[in-house]
Amino acid sequence: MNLLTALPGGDPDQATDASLARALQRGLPGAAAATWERFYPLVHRTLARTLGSDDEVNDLAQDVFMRLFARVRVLRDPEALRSFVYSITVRVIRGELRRRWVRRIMKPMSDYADLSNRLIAPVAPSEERAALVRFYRLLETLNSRERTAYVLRHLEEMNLEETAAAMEVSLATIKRILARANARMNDVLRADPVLSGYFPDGANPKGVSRA
Amino acid sequence: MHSDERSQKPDPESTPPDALINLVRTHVGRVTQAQSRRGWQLLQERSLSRKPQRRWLVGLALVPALAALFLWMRTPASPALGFRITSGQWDAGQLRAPSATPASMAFSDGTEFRLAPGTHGVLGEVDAHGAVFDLKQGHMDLNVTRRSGARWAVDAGPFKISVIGTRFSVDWQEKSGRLKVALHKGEVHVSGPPIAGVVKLAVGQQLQVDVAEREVRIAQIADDTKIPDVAPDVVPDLG
Repeated sequence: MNLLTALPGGDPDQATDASLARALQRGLPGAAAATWERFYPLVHRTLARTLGSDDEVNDLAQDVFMRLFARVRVLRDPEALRSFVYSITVRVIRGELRRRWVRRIMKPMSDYADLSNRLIAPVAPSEERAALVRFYRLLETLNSRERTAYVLRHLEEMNLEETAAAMEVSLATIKRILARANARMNDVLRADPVLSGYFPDGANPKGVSRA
Repeated sequence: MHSDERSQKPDPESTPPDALINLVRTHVGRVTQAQSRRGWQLLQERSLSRKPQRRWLVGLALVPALAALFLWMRTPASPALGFRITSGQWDAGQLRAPSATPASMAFSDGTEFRLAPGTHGVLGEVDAHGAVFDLKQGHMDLNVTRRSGARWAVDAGPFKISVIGTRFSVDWQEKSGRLKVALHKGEVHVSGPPIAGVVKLAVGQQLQVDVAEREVRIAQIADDTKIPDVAPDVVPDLG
């Protein structure tokens, strides 16, 4: 991706999110490629971790970027490019979860049959692979909002404010969503004969709190 | 009693076990440089429509009460037209002709766009019936294959040129706000301020619009110097 000399500063690795956003808004050559390079890992990771199935992650990542390139002109605060990317990703995720929900009514268990082969890094030991498959099956017990919030908060390590911004809800609302998601997930994780072993010995998982 | 209620109330900061979360973070969602490069290539090559996703199989079985849900799914009726960039710079939906050479793209139905040197625009929606091209600046020639149900359009600033199957050119100068549309064959409809309604161009005619002067004129392509002020079927909105 060597089309980036038109970016402010010339070097896409040195460009701030804001300068990248402005370059996109001005349609500068190379801005799209630089944006892809910077945010594709984030988008792909968030999609994969939330959806738990690799079937359409690549297509959906492209959806995210097509929407981003089409809508970046409405981004008022170029500093907020990363948050903008996250919010588009969340919308794509929630649309996909709704479609899966409909599909699942008609074709139960269609999404997870091959999860372990395609989603998880091939270097993962088999027992860890099995644990991950169980984890994603349990994540199905959450609705789309809870599931997305849960992944952003715990797997993407966003703070509450960032999670609320990405989900486009208030801080109070995200706290309620996360409270339900955490409680439900902890219940099903504790009840799972394999995943319960990941809790500290004898400890009540509700006592584990984020610093 | 109160103590029991408190213990049952979900704690927003309760978390899953760190070991499990670390396991997911370690093994799920990793991206290699090769994947990223391949994804970028696919994005550039991708026709903007999504592949048919076999959703019609689901739709066949759904009861009417669930039909509204399928509005979300935007099932394409048929595959979108394919296209390829035959020359010029293509960057995530934007086609740009370098300052010294033209750019062009061809669609699977035979339609062709040719951009003059220095011209650029963005390819918008592409579906089975046609596409929308947003001409940002410069001059382009279009040769649109006439077929039943075809829907093509060019956006140029505030103007929309709807194409019925034709050969024509569009010139849009963003800074001066001047539009020219020359029709060589077929039929086009042009709308946008200061045109009230739609201008229907006839073969051999050229429409000229000056946004700043709120001037709309139609001339014969071969004789630009002798042009009527306003075509009979054009009602400029000068208010």
